[in-house]
Amino acid sequence: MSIGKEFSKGIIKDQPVLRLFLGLCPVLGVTSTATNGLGMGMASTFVLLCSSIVISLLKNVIPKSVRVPCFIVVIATFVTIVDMSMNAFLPELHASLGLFIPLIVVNCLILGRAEAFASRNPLATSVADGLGMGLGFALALTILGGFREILGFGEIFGVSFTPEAFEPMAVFASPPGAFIGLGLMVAGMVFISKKLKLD
Amino acid sequence: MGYIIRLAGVLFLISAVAAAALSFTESVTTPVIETRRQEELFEAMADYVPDADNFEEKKVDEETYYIAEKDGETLAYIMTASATGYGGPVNMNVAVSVDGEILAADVEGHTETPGLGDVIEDEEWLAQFEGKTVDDPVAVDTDIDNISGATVSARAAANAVRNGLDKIGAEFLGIEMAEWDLAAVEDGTYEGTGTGYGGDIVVEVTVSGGEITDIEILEHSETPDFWANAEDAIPESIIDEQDYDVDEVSGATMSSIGIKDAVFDAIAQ
Repeated sequence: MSIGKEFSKGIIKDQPVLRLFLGLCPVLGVTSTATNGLGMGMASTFVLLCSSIVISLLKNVIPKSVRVPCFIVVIATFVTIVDMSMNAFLPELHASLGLFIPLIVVNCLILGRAEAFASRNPLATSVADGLGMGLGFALALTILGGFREILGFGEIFGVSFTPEAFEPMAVFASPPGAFIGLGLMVAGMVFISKKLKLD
Repeated sequence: MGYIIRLAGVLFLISAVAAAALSFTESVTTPVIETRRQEELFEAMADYVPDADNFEEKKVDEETYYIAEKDGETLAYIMTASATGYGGPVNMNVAVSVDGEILAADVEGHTETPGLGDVIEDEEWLAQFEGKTVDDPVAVDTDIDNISGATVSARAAANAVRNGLDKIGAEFLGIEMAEWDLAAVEDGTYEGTGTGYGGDIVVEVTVSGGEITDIEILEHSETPDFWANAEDAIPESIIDEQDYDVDEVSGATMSSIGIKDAVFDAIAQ
């Protein structure tokens, strides 16, 4: 498979959130606004990309029987780096994402890609896979966050644009809104994949 | 054998590199975070006491106080005080003038339930604390409005402010704090009140020969299932240890704190 294909499969064909249903906890937890969704998506992309690189490079060094602990140590290290750097340089985003940053460690998407892809493929394709999957994840989170922010707060990326008569629907700002929004997005994805004959 | 060593060796090497990377990141980010916290604190303090031109730090017994000064003259005292809320400690910044009047009370940090307990951050509600003095009760349902749906959080916030007021009062304003001094208590029975989850808890404490011999609960309105956990356990451990500061019973934290406070109130009069 070509590098371009490895990259683009993360956006539509193997879209991690809407087709593989991986890492749904942060998807539901932090997407109350587009900014939060994008921030979480970017943090996850960084971790996914870095861990894919390291694990792909170390794939011949790591013995099979201790591979999962090795992967987890690598992933946890990058997550902690993200957590500390974000706290230092992006304090507001860090405050609103809160507990979900350290929880990237247990995002099954990241361990999943390490186990299923990076540990079996050369560096270049692993980078493409990590980046594509990460950006696909970030895209889904940002769209869901934007959808909820528009309906729940009447804003997008913190900018109010709706007419004053628009009454924000609080349900979309609260957890049930995440489920409703995700459900609608999955339905849309099923529609698109039928059209594109992906299955 | 060689295989095992190889497994351990690889894992060890990866962990060692990870540890080095983390300690490097930590050394870069911690100063930035600390500086920002300090700046935020100083900005907040400048907000509480706008006239002050200098904030002097003073550490006493693990507590950090800030003394707001103008031209070398003390205007106010500021500290972060804490009380137990629903989800953990509720930390409040309290600024008290030299006359013992609250200039500002502000939430420094909390882990209360988003959407319920976090209403303690409401500015209008916090404004109630302003102007209260060391002589006021500063307690929910007396001179501070309760918040329906967030009773425990509101009480914790008010208790934290009260704690701060007491500590600043004792440290700088020469106001005596109620003290726990069993040996000085004469024989007899004493009544005290504390606040649990459902409201006031009233206890009667019997003291004989400088020791607590009996604790009787006179009144409470706690949830029965939870109350059962604390009802006997807390008085027993207080009598065992002859100290009010015993471990709380898990599953009945608020009731436990209520009983402890009531016993303290009875003895420290």
